Amino acid sequence: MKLQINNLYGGYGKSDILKGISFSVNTGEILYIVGKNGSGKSTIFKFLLRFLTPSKGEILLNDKPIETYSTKEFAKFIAYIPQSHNTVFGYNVLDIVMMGRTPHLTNLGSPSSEDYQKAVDTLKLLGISHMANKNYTKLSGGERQLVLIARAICQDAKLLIMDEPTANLDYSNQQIILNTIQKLSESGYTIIMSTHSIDQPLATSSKILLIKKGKSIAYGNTTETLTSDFLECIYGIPMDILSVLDRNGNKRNVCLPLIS
Amino acid sequence: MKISDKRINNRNLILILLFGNILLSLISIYIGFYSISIKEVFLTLINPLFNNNLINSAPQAVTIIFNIRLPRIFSALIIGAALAVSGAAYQGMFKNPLVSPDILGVSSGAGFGAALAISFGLPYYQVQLSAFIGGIIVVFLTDFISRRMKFNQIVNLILIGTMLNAVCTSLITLLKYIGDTNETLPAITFWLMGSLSKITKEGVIFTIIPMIVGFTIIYIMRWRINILTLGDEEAQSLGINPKLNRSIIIFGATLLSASAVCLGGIIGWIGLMIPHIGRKISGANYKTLYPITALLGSGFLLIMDNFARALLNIEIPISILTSFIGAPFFILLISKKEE
Repeated sequence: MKLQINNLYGGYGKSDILKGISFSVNTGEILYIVGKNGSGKSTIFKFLLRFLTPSKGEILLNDKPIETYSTKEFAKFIAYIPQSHNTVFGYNVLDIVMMGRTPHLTNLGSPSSEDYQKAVDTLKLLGISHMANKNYTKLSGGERQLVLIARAICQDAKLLIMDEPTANLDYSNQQIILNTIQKLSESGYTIIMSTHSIDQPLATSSKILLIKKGKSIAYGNTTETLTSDFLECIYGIPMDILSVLDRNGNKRNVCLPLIS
Repeated sequence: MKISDKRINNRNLILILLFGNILLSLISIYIGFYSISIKEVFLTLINPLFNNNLINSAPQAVTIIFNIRLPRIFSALIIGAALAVSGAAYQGMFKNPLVSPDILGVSSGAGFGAALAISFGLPYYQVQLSAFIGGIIVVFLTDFISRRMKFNQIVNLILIGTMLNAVCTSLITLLKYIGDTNETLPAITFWLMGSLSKITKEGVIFTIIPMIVGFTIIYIMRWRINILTLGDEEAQSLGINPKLNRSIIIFGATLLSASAVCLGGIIGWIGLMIPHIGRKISGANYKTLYPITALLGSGFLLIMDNFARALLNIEIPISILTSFIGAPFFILLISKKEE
């Protein structure tokens, strides 16, 4: 699995929001996209998911332009996990997870017993079988995010795009989601996600893309790219990266915005 | 942990509703102004199986059962199912449980078509045909105009549908205003209130084909309706083309509602209320909601029609009953706290 973005330009109307974005991800990698609100993080996802068409540049999936894939075929490679949301109708969790099987159905078909079993197995894999018959709209934000991850796994797509998966979640739920993402990465899933929490990429060895006003400010490994200078550049406030020891004596880097 | 399989419960529920509708239909044959005993109904029904040698049924009973009551019962079943299924489909497409089948103007378009035909003094089957064409044309116009607008597809459709609804309603009012007060005005008013009293075999035969097409389209697309309720971006990320699929589903739902309106006039509340009840008892998944909604809609309209023809000495327009009984029941249902 390889996704490559070369010199991407584009936006919603005539003017470009993204100006020359480039990056690539390979099997098992996690790429964090970090930037201020309105910097273009979600817009990048809209191009990756083909909701928008670039005005310039190219996006290659396994060395083929993404527009050459059919909608159904594309969905077998890339799954989208939006921010935890509510559905209008109260589907039960198993229904939501089974929706991930849609790209694998025949054109006019509906899920079979095998698809049902796959959804059941996915819930077991994530340890959330107890939610199977619960109403999705009645779940907490963290639970809904786990269900959306289960739907993406059920989709059998090996590249997951996550739009701020830990937004609005408490520390405990954030940790559950991040551990799940880490396990998925270790089992071969490629993950592209946006976040406002700098401590998350600092705690992992992964890739990061820093953007400001639609332009790429820095791109590379988190250890080399996440510096005070780059963070100050994208957020416009003084920020420190500090090394601290946790209670077990392990060294950790944390981000500290300076309050003036 | 063992996961209980809700699919089995829903299958049982479908069977219960199916059996209930069959029983209700048999009871409905017995109900009406012309009194026929239960024994006579039963023997008249099975008589053709024995080469009419079983009993010498009164010719009136045979005519009433086979030419009036059975077509009417059959019509109530298919109209109820069509309105309920199209309502459920529209609600899914517009991601709004308060949407009814006339959101794109099908009812007001059909009403205008019927009012125009009545004003010209055309026979009843041409009134039905005109209603069908009127409903389809208005939905087509709604779709056609909305494609030329800037906003997103759903907002456009609702805006244009509301506007064309208003235009058709004003034209119906104009036809009523200038129409003959002894014949045209009451005929238009009565048609707009909905009734199954003038159902004919010909009318049923004319509408059955578009209804079958509509039912088949929604049946085939029932899983995709689930996906479209998540919004266009998620639907596309799950591998389906939202615009194309939505257009197909709206076409199927429009065929159903236009055929239903053409056959029975404007019958309110079923398309709004029944899908809601369906969701309460079977869940939101359209795979099971489709048959359950269809069966509930059939049963509900059949009961209302039985009231319409048996409650008073005169035939009550059916929309009066569906609104009078349906609206309070709906309020009761949605105000009940979930367990």
